[in-house]
Amino acid sequence: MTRYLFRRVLILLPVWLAVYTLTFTLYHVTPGGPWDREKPVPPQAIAQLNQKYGLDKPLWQQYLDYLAGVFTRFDFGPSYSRQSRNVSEIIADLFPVSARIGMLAMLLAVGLGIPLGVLAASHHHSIADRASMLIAVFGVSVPSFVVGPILIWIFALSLAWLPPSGIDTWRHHLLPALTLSLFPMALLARATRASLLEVLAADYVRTARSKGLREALVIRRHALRNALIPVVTIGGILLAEVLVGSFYVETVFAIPGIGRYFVTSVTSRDYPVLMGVTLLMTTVVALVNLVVDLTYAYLDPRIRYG
Amino acid sequence: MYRSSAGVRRGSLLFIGLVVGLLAGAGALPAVAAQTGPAAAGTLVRQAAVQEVRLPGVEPPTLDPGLAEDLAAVEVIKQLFDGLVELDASGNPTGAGAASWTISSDGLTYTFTLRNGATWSDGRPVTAQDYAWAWKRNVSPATASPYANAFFPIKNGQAINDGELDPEQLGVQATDDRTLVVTLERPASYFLSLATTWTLFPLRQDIVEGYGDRWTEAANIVSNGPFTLREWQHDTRIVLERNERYWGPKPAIARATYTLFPEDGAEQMLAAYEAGEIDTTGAGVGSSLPASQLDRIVADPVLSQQLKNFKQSGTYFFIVNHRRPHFQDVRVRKAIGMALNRRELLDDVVKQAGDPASGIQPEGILGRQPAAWPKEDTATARQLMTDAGYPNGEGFPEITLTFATSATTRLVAEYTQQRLKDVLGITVKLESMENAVFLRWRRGAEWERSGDLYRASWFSDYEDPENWYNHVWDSESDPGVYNAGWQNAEFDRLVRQAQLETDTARRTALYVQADQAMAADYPHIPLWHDEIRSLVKPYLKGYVPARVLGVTPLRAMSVDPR
Repeated sequence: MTRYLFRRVLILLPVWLAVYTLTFTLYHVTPGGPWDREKPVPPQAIAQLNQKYGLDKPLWQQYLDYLAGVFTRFDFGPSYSRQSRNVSEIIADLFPVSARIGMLAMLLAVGLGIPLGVLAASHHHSIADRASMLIAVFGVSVPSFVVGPILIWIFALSLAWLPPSGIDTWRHHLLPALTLSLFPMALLARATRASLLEVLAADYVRTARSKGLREALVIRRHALRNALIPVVTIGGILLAEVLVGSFYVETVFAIPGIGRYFVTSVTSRDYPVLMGVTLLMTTVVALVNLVVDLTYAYLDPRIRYG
Repeated sequence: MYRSSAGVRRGSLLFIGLVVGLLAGAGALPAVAAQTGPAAAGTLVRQAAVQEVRLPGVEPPTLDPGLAEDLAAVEVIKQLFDGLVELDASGNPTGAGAASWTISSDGLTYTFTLRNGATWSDGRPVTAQDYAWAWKRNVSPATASPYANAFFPIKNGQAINDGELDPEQLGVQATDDRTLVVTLERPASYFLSLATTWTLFPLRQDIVEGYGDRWTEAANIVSNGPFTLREWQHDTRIVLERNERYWGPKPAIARATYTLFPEDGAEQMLAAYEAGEIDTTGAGVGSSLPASQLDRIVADPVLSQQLKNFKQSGTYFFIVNHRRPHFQDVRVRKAIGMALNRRELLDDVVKQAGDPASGIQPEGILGRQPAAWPKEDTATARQLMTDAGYPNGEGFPEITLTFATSATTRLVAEYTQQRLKDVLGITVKLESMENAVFLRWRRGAEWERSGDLYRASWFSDYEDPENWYNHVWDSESDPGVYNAGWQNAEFDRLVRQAQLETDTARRTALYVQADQAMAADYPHIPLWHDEIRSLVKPYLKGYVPARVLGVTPLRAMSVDPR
């Protein structure tokens, strides 16, 4: 197992390099630079800024300089749009915020979505089934930037129970987490239902029932574990997505998170931040995939890693 | 089919119910922290004698006066720092960091005597060396200040920034702790206005060099203005506190908190205002009220009373590419300008505050002659097009209106396209680009070769005609600013003469003539002068954002403790 883990972590290096090269190429090919503003900036100032930040050097040198900085000093560069901070600080500040909201959203999604799916599958074709799937369709179709403002209007403005924006207290986390959780919740509900329906038709489930076990026990002890494998796969992808923050949710609720910052770093051409966040997202996705793979081993005893 | 177990249903529903119940309960619990206690829209809840104001803001890219160029940055910097002079309500310079000054008869030497008792927030006195060092540091090409051209009127300023001379050669000298002598390249009557801008604020060498890029963090920064930076939680809030050591009249406001919103955060600011978390929707970046909510606000009995309009020293216009043969006839340009209905554009199409502009220079800029510029008149516009050889637009090529992708700019573009088709019969093609791509494009060869029109704006850095006529419209500065290719020898001659003129009356007269020459040549299409529409709580007194850059007048504000 240790060797397996070690191998999985080691493979991150070529992945990072590939992502780095691709991102580097993409943003140098894209027109537009970091210094232009609506109010025209004198070309001389732009030239000086390029020189100050090393953007006038040949591309291969910029490519290597960045790698050298990362590997020798763990320095991911300064931020062009936040001139008193560097990329590591910014990510260290913003990522935990997004991760907190993401984790809370995922907890809600799992806590509500999977039971909803179970309810639907075990009462196939009933009202409960149709109602659950209606909720799921709603969660999948209505975008977060529609749900968010509606929730703000209801809970923050009309009822005044919760604040409309920011992340100061735990109360500030509720609406964003709820908004963010709707899509994953819906997907998990559907996936659980589909998978559980398949498993419930299997022979060993029929055996369990014929033994006289209560239905709840049949599902909990025998069916669910196997049904969860595809759900965990989807859950892993969703977890990676919500951990890195949603641009829409973070904008609507004015949350200083990495999702919003990633998008603004693209529009403002803040290359070091762009690169840093991209590499962070790569790492998050890779680690979540690793956790998902390990969860398979727990769920299905036939799966073992050497 | 087997018997569906009630147990499963019970189990699932119980679980779901538990989670939902927890959420609802959490939401309904009474507010824990008094500070975030929600208030219903319009409730006037203020605590007695707490002079604290809560404003919306946007994360500033920097708080370093030498590096700032953003509205968000200038807003905070102007609360934290004092320059040599300030402009009073009538636009006359009064002493801030400087107690008095003398100007030599040839207009080339300014001698400032610094104020006794002016100190930094850590107690040390503000010295002339602080100014001299700051200016040399800001003009140096290594600093890469976007506003280094503020130093070009000073002796050697431009040469230093070009890299030809050492920054020590700048024409500024601290002859003693309280005397600053500035030598100019040429007489410049606008120099005192220039001295109100942030690049000419003093800096503490030991702090800036000691902390490097981090010197503006709240723990390190040292400033000399009426407020100090108490807290800067990035992307979340900025807290300013009254500087008790300040030499000048003590502001009534003891504490100002900027809650930081995303850049396009108008909706979020409005929601926070209605929830009672901020005291105004502000006047800075992204503070315009969302157009989609305007009707509701105007119809609301409470909110409509809190709606205020503030004029700004800025204008929006279409830049015309003078290299294009079809734009070289002034009649065509005038026709386009006269064909638009700006009131309709502002009120019905974009639903933004604004003052329809006939001329380019806004209110407050000496020399402006709005009467000299052609008025909106569709009949005359059509006649002018016919005179120019394009009756009903026949024979006029299809022109392209290029803009950065954004909801409001698209509305402006579509309106213009429709209007010019209806009134003049000319076809306008719309081309939009991502913002960064657009800003790069308009500087480049492709615009010069094949671009026709793009929408631009200019906002005064300081309310002096030089900032418009010379800085922006003199053909020499053009490639760096709008790259329009407009050249008018008469206009250039007038404004260059005005720049050197020290007598106010003669200077104004020259700018008047320049504006008339510009009006006659109609190089670009004025759209509207900027205005900010904002909601302001009734207990917030004195909130009149400055005409220049919408800066909050914290020194003059107060909170009614009722």
